[in-house]
Amino acid sequence: MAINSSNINVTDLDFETIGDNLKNYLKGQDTLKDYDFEGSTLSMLVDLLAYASHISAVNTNIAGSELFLDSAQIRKNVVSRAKDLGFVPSSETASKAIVDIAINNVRNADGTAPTITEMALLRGSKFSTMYDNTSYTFVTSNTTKPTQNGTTYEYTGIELVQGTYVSDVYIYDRQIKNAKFVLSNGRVDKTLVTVAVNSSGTSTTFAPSTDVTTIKTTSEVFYTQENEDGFVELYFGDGVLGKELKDGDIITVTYIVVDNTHADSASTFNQVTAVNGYNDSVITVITPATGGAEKESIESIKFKANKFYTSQNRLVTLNDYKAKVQEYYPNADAVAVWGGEDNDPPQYGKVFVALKPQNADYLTEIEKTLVRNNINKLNMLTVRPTIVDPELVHILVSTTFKYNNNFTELSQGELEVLVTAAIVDYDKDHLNNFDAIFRHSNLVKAIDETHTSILSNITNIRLRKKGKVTINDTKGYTVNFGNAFYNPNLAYNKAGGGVTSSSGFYVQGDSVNIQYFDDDGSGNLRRYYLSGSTRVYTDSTAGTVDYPTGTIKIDAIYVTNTVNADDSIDFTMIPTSYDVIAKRGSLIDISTAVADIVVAGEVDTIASGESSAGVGYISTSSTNY
Amino acid sequence: MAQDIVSKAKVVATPDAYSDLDLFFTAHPITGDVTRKLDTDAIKRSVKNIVLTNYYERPFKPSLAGGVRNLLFELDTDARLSRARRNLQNTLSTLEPRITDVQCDFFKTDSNAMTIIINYRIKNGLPNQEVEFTIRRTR
Repeated sequence: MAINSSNINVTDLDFETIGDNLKNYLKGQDTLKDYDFEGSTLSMLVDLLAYASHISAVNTNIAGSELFLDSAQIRKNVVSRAKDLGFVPSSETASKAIVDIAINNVRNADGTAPTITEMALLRGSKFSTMYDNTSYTFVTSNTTKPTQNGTTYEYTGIELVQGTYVSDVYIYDRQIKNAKFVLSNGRVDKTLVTVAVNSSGTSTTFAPSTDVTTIKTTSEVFYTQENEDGFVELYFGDGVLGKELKDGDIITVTYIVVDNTHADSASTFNQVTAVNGYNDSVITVITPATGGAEKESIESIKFKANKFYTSQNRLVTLNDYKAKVQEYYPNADAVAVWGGEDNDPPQYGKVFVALKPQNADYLTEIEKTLVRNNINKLNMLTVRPTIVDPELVHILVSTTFKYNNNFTELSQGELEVLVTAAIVDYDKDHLNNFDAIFRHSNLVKAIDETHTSILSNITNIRLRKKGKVTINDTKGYTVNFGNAFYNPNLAYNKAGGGVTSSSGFYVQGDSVNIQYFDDDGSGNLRRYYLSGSTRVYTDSTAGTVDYPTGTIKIDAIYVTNTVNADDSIDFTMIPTSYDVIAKRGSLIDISTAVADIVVAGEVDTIASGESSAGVGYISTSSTNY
Repeated sequence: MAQDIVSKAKVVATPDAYSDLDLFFTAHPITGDVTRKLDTDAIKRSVKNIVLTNYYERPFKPSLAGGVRNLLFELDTDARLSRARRNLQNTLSTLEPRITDVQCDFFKTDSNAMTIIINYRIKNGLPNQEVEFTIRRTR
């Protein structure tokens, strides 16, 4: 079969186009003409060839994509590419709590006191807690000896970790090249893995390898990595980079299997495992459970691996800090880093790190110290890292939506629940990072798309920020929202309290009236109390309000108590722009507390046919909150 | 005179309108090439291919099928056969543009089998065709 046309396009990848190319090619001959008829044998062959070419092209494309970190999609390949850069993804992390334990009334039957060694709180001892009406088990991560105080034995600073302790035992066989020991459970917290090697009756604890430059031929270390199935596997040195094991050595690996639900913020614990038979204990929680995290996600690995590589285990640029902080604290929901020169006011020679945990607003002091100590090891001499709490600006949302009741069988209340859920989802999806921007129109669109019956919505927002105060002390305070306040003209809404409102507090000299702040629209912060519904101003120049910069400055004031339980005053203001930005260590989020999201549905009387020509149609104000 | 005209006329071979490969890929006894199906035979082969193809058999063309094999496992009712007949006629009319006036008939035979006879007319004037074949359950 002679083909007159030898041109065939081989660059296309999809089935249809490959088939068309083959048919074009066949047009160059007249021996076989039926390629255009679907039933013909020739058409069947063209389809088969196009299918084979298409599958081959797809496979090649996938294989090519999986070779590179940026385009890889399969976890094992992403992990492998990250390994090339020296980056090891973090495993699941167990939630941890710090407690003090006192076991009372400890006496042997003969009246003697047990020894400290007998009363040691062994590693793996169980404690229980209730979280969301479910019981979870915590275990001690180390063996601790108590201090004796009469009949009471006290254990201080005990770390409890959530999960179950498991041991796997392997026997080393030199016949197997590059032996890897795969742990028999998934969801292993790699930071809590301990390895003991029993060689000829002598047991030695091996340490995890962290820095290859410090490893010698005799270093008793083990290496961990995630295998193709997502399980943790261990391997040992080869006699050059770490001590090599001998034939018949018994390897005992003890680790904790992390629960599926992290009981973060659990703060009451009960002793389950008796210590030497005694369990009359009082447990004081020093730090509630925190830090539970899932295995590092594919997106996170891609994000961090190249930053880790460029940072080369030293902290110079802001991205170096960002990468390392996330490595040291995998439970971070968001990390912001900025140089002291960019701070307000500038503080040269410092680098500021703001870190928001996943299940809380702020780090505990212990966690801050841990992160700071780790950073200090890699820090440059002339730069001091400072861990600061993120400044949270909460967005309060009030929305009124119109819906056509002919398009849905859902009640108004059910639609309102759906809209509330859409607002919460928007917060989760878009506002979980520093440098995030709240885009008002996107939220409005998300609300409209909640259900086909929803026709429109008017959504208003306010911003709220917490200002911490020192009780029983005369001090001035500054609360910076980072977003301009609404102030269209001088003395705007002077009678109604301007654009500022606050939660209540008490001041020295007046223990009866709850004081509040508002502004006069001319830049003055005013303090008042309510007499019925009338505002009685006690200080008309209690501070200043800078509308363009969004800063409230409170002059020196002696606060004796606050309505908020955490010694703080909440300031709520109307922003100029409904798009809200977060600067430096600010984090914006939609306050998802029930009281802070106001959702109201109304039947659209025109769309539903109840009224015509706009008669009786009530629209919602876009300025009221 | 008339004889002269005939003798002077050029003898021109009519090129084959349709040509396709034989699905059985048998070798030509003289040339050794794969044999071809030409004109009416090519169309007949095409019709048979369509009728015997099952749904989802052709890659990326799930609906390109006569789907008659499925009939062997359907309930034996007149309505079912009538619907199958209509479907097959429509399918052939759609997928094989060279034929028209398609008539399908199903005849139940014993031994778990069914005979299908398809009559059609070829559009460019070639004589009417009939294809007959039997489909049988494998036990």
